[in-house]
Amino acid sequence: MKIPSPPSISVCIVEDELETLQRLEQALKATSGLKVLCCAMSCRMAIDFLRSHVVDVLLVDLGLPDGSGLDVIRFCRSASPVTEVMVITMFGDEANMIEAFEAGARGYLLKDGTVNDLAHHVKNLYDGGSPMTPAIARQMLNRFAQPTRQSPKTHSAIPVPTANALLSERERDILSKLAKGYTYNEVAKLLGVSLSAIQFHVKNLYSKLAVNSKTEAIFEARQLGLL
Amino acid sequence: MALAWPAAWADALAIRDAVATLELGDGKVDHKPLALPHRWDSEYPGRNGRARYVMTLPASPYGQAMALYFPRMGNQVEIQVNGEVLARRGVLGDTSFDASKTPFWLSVPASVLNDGETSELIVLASMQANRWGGLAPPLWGTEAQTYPLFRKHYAWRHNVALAVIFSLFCVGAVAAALWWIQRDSVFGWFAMGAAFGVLRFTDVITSEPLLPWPLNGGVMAAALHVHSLCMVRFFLALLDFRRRWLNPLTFAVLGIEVVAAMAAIMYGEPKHWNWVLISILPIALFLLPYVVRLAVIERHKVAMLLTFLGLIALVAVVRDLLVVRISGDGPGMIFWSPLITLLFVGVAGWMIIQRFTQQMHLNRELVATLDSKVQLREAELRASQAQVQAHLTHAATLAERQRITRDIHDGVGAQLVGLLSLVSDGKTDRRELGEHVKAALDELRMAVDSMQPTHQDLTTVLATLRYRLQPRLEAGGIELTWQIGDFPDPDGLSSAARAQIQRIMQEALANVIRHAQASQVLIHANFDAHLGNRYCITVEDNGQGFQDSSTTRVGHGLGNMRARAEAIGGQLSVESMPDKGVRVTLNAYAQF
Repeated sequence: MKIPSPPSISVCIVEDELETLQRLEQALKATSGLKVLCCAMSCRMAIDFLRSHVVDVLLVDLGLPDGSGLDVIRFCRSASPVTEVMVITMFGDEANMIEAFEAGARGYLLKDGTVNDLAHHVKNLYDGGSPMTPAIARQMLNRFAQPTRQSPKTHSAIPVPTANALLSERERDILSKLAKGYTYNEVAKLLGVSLSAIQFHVKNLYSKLAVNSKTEAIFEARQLGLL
Repeated sequence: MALAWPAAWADALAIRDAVATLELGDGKVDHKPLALPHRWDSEYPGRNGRARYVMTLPASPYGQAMALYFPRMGNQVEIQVNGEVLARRGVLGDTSFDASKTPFWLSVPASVLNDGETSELIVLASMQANRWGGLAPPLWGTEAQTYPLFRKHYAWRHNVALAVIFSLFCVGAVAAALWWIQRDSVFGWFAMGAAFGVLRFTDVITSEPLLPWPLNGGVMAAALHVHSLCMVRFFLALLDFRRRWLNPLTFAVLGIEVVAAMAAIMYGEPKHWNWVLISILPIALFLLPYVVRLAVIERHKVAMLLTFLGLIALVAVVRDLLVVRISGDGPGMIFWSPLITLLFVGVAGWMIIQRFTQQMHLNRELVATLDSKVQLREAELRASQAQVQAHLTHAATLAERQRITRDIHDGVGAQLVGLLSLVSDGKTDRRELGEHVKAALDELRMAVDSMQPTHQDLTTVLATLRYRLQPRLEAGGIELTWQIGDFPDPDGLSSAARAQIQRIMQEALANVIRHAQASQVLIHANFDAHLGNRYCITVEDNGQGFQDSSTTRVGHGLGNMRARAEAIGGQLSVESMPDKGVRVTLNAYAQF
């Protein structure tokens, strides 16, 4: 039976390094409006918790002792789609993060941030804003660039279904500006739209990435005759 | 006795007695009885002439048609019975026809004969020297008695000759074809010998040769010599007998023999013929022991076969000579020599094929060996290529690692060392220490950034730099105006160049944060293809600026920045006026 979440933003932290976990817990607990419901130190613990609970925000470290944080992310997305997932990372290495986004994460958190940063970021994410580094923006442009993609398994060009795969003109503009290093505010000013519009688009982009990767997975499965 | 007449034709009668009138060209006439066979060349060697043979035919039963079978006569004849000309072979004195090449059979009608009495047979003949002229004893009998003998003789002589010609021609053609494919002297000599052999043997059965007499005789005699010499060379080639003097000697002997043979025939000097025979003898004597040694001692297969053949040939030739000498060239005589020739041609043909297939096998082996050698070389080449490739990759990896190491050392390392000294000092306050730690963390992040795959492009490098330093600018109350143009992709810069640009920018921004006391900073970057693919990045602040003195410049690390710029083939310029701020301009160039 699932326990409903309390009024303030509930958070679950999945991190295997004890010091980091404690620091994160301290930082979040100290902030009003944030409530830490669970601290898990392994995939197993996290998944067990998520089976019977719903949280507003899930913070996951990618390098867990008994598996990859990606599994936790995927489980969470399928078990509880309302939960916002954030990846905890040391340096923000894009390679892993893009994978996390494709699995369904919506943002990332730097382990070395100050107390304010962490809380600010978590709140932000819950409110719908996701930070995006220029490098991630660049990667996204690459990912969405080709109308056809080469299936790595069959090595044939497969047309990706147009509905969710391609970017709109606006989205492409936003991404290319972000890739050049402009902040959300500056992008909003340059394109003549509001900041919230930019944040909305960015959030959509993350979804598209996840959907895109899911669609591609389905497509590939079809190609291989698995579906 | 083994050489007696076969009993089959005992019924026909051989006419052996004749009265001959022999005329030589110079008017000398000889009239005498003689016993047939009469050989003109034996009696008058080297002379042309005419003869008139008168023979008596025994009485035949009344009204019986008879027949005459002439085993041999030459060279142009006219046959008369009881004064009536029954047949002519050629025109007397006309050398274009040679009656001696084939036997002749003539039916004698009863009307010509004298009933119950003997008849007179006259044979007029004209002879050419060395042309086997003369008359063999004709056979007198009924058609039934004589004709089968004639047929047998004719068939034997004619058909055997044809067989020899045909076999020589076939094997010779094969040898010629093989010689064309593969220039082995074995094939060449046989082909040539076969050609001359065919020429010679064809003449044996040709009554009307193409060449006029005596030229034809000379040519044919020469042809026989050439044929024989070629066959000798063929044998030597089969035995792989190679000497430098062999070819010159062959051609010398050939020359002598051809000239001598032709002279002998054409000038009617049989003496020359003897010289020819003599010239062959020493060669044979010289080569014989060599061949015998090969056959007996070394048991060389080909040599043994050839020796065996040679012995058979010798026996056959000797036997034929004896038969001819002793019992005369008579009808029904079976000569062994042509058979030997056939045997020889057959064996030669087999050996030729053998040799050719041997060569083919050798060639195939050679090709296979070559093939495997080439493959080996290819494998070696590939291996060495792979080695070179691996080496290059390794070198590239090492270079990259060194760059990264240096970066970390210069960046984070320097920061930490500085931090350690501050901490040990005990003089610095916690806030400032915290700043230094943050700076160290930033350095580390930037080092990790530089290793990301997305960092292979200048736009991302600059954008990420801004993203990392933005918080510190905000903390220092500095408002940043960011202007980045469109850069080409790929950017045309090496990763080392990008790293240096990043460092220079970092340094410039650090200066703004620490020393400028500015409230605003403008960062502008653009790319101009027309100015030599130039990237131009400027950092301009509205701070206090600095005096143009060497100490301040060094202190702000400008010298370092300039060195980095020059290291990547670019330029750095700094403009400043007191209270007018600082503008740092970096130019870097792309290679496409």
